[in-house]
Amino acid sequence: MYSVVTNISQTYQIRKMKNALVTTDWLQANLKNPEIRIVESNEDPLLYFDKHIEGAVHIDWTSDLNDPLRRDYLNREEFAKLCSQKGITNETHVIFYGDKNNWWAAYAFWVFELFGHKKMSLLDGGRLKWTTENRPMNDVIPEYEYTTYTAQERDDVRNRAFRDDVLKHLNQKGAMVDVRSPEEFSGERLHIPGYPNEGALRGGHIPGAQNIPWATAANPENGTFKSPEELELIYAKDKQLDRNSEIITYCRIGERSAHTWFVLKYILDYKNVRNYDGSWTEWGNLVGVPVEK
Amino acid sequence: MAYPENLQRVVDYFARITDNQTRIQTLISYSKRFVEVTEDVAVRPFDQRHRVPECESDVYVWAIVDDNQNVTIHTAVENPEGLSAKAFAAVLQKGLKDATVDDIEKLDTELVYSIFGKQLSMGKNMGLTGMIQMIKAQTRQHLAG
Repeated sequence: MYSVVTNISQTYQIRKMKNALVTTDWLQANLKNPEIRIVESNEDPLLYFDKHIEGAVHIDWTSDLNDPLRRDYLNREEFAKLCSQKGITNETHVIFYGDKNNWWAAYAFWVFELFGHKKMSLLDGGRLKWTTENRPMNDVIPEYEYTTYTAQERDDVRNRAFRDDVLKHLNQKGAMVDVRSPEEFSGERLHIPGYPNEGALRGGHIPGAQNIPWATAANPENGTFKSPEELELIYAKDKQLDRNSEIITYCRIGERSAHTWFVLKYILDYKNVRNYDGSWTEWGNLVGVPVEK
Repeated sequence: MAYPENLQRVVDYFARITDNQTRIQTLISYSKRFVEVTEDVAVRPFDQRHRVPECESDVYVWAIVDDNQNVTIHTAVENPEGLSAKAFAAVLQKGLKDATVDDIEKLDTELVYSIFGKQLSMGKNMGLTGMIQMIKAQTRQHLAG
C-alpha cells in the first residue's frame, strides 16, 4: 500500500535515469547539439514571437496539438507531419520549455508521450529561469529541414483517461488528484462571468478527488520543480498517494493536470498515472455523474 | 457596441488584421509601449483590492475618476511573463485616454476577442476579461461614493 522512498538519493537516481529534466546550464551547453530540438510551448501567445531560446521552435497547444474540429488531439499522420515540420526525428531529444512553471510545456510533453516519442525532457525552471539568468534569446524563427518521422498510433490507454475510465475508477474508489484552485475545487468559482459556455454547468469536484493545486509542485521564484524530497512529502506523505496504485489527474481541460502527471510519473516515479483531459469542462457538464462540493 | 473614439480606432485597426502573425507582432509592439502605474498613484506592495483575481499575470488596475467624470487607467503587471497583459493594458491606456464614466460603462468583455482574436485560451481570456471588469467595478464604486 502506502510507501515512501526513504532513501532520497534513490529518487534523484530515478530522475537522473529518466532524464526527464534538464538544467539551464545543460541546455545552454547543448544549444548547437544537432540531436536535440528545443520546443517552446506557452500559455501567453506573444512570448515566443517576442523572443525565445536560440533555435527553439514553437508549438501552440490549440493550433498545433488539437484537432481543429473535434475535441481531441492530432491523429498519427498529423503528429508525424507536425514533427517533420519542426525538424524532429524519431531519435531527436525534444526539450520542452515554456511560461508559467512549464505548465503548457508539460502539456505538450504529455501529448508527445501519447504518441510514444522516446527522448523528451522539460527544461527545469522553463522560460522564467532562462530569462532571469540572462541566457541567450532572440526573435529569429528558425527553419529546419523537414524530417521523416514515423509516428505510432496514439496510445489513449496508458497515460490518458476518458470519462468512462473515471467513472469506473470512481466506483473502485481509486485515487484522483484535482489540480485546480481551491475555489474551483469547492465549486465557489465556476466559469468566466459572461462566458458560461466555456465553463461548466455544475461546480465542485469528482467525489473522492484530493485537491493539490498544480503549482504546488513548483518554486514560484524561478519556476523550477521542488526537490524530490519536498514533492515526496506533498504527494506521498501528506496526501497519501500510493506509488503503485492507479491515479487519475484532472483540472479544467487537462493542461494543468498534465503538469502534475509529469511530477508523479517522471519525478516521483509513480507507476500508473493517467491524465483526464476531458476534466471539469466535461465532468461538470455531464448528465447524471456524481459531483461533490 | 459604441466604444469611445480612441478605443474604436484601435478596435477597427485590429479588425483589419487578417493574419495571426501580424496580430501577434502588433500586440508585441503594444506591450513595449506599456506604461506602468506611477508612484503618485500607487507603490508596492500594491493594495490587494486592485489585484485582478482572474489574471495569472499578477495584474493590478486603478481606475481613477476625476471631478469631471473622466477616467484614467493605471496598470501594473507583476509577472515578467505577462506580455499579453501588458499589451492589453497598453491598448486600454491608449483607447481609454480621456474616457468618461459613461464610456467605461459601455465597455464589453468582447473587446478581448476584438483585440486578441478568437484563438485565445480560456485562461488568458479570463485574465484579460478580468481587467475590464475591474475597471468597470472601480468606476462604479467611485460613482456610488
